Amino acid sequence: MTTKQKIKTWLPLCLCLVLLAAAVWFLGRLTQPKYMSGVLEGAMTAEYYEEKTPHDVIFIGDCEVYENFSPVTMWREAGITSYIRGTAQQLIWQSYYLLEDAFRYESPKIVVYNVQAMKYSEPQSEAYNRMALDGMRLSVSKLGAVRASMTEDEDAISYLIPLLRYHSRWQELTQEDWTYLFRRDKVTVAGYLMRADVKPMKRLPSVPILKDPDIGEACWEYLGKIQALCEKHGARLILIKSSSIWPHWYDEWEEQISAYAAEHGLDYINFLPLQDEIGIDFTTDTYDAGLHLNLYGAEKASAYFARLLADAYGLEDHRGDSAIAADWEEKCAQYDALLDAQLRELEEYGYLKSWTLGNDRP
Amino acid sequence: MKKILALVTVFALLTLCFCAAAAFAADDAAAAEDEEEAPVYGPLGFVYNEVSFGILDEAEPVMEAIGEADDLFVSASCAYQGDDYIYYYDGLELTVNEIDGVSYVTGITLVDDMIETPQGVAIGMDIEEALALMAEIEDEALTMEENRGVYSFQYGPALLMIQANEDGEITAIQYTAVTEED
Repeated sequence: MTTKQKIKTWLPLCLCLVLLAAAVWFLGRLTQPKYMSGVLEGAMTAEYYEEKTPHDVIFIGDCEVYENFSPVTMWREAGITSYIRGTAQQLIWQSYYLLEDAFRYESPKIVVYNVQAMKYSEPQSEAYNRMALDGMRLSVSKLGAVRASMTEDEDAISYLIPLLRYHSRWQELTQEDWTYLFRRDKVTVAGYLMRADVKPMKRLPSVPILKDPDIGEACWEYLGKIQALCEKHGARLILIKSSSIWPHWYDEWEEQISAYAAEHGLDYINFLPLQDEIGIDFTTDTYDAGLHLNLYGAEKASAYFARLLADAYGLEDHRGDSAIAADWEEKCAQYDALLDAQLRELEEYGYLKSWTLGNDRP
Repeated sequence: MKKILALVTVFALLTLCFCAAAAFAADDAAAAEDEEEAPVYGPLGFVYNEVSFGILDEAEPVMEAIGEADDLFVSASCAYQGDDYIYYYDGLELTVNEIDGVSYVTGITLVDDMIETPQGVAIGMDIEEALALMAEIEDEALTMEENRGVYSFQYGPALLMIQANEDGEITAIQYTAVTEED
């Protein structure tokens, strides 16, 4: 077979394969959930890659970080640059791989891990896995995260070829799927998902009986890996238990985390006994009756934590650095605009409707 | 060349057919599950306001029968998709979760000593007395295990947990649905 014949034979085949791959990619993008309304949490992971300047502090963990801390407040309070790589029900192995992923892009001085998710030592839910991992860029870290996170019914390949998972959504496609086919609006400011509404805590349910109070082996293993990862990259790991008062944080868990931190030379800060010192009032500072802080509570917790990080850990005030300050001024403007918009919605409707930081904001 | 193109086309079509078949198979499986009978909780049923019900009963008829709740607490669910709906009643908390579009009772919590289980177990009682009452249940399918003061009785999908303090006094009683975590 001559070269010409070979080209004649293989070129159309290659073109077909490229077209097939393009079709699979396009349909995958189309059918993949966009998370631009309703459940916004699924859009958070990908936003990290749009950051323009590095951060001294990276938070990892579940909703107790991305709802309870505001990086903008930490900037305004002490010039601390921070980002929250949080996702809904982020399990500890996901925290590990998201942190590993973050270290590919920057070298934070402090890593803050919220220990609430250590109650889970096994994969829990595909929906939350998808929200945490679909937005990760393709990397060894993503593959590791997928492998560690999958529930029994999941296939790793569908995280790489979304069409395999979402093809059945073709019947449910909405205008949102077309509008956000190739772009997304931001849903957070530096990883903080703002909620300016208020739903006071009135009465918490009875504390569920803990059948097995021991924190699982897998959690300890990954906590060790997070610590080792931080040490490898010269970052200091701080463990926290954020201010949320529900789900209940058990004394048994507190004892185990405290003992681990002491044994491994880690700082552990439990914000629950500090509520009065911070000034958190669960009649005004929560939007869902005690599960998460609203903007007002998050700002109080963040101001407190920023002062602590500046004083006890010597984090630098970057407000004098023009390049960094310019980036954060932009974030502050987005934050203020978002707050204004939320307040307008609350005034108009009495509740928050689903919307993002994009141009479609009301 | 045409053979190769035909092969690629067939492969693409087969892929799409496979995707469609998988979707239909998932739908069929869901439909089959819907047709299954409600789980049986056997002796781990509960009675409140003279209404008998139990774990994984449909919530709507239960709540209609036992009366209006005093209040409601909603939180993101740890064990199910969506939210936990916890309804407060006098002496009782009822947890409800939506599973495949239907609301089910997934938790019953006794909150004071005014309410007792059908076997007569109540908060404040001595655990030995409670265990003697539970031992009267004659059903081989009922299993019991103890872990650091928590006595777990399981029957099918229903789990009754009784917690006692170091003095042997019962401090909490809860019925829940067995989840993968359990």
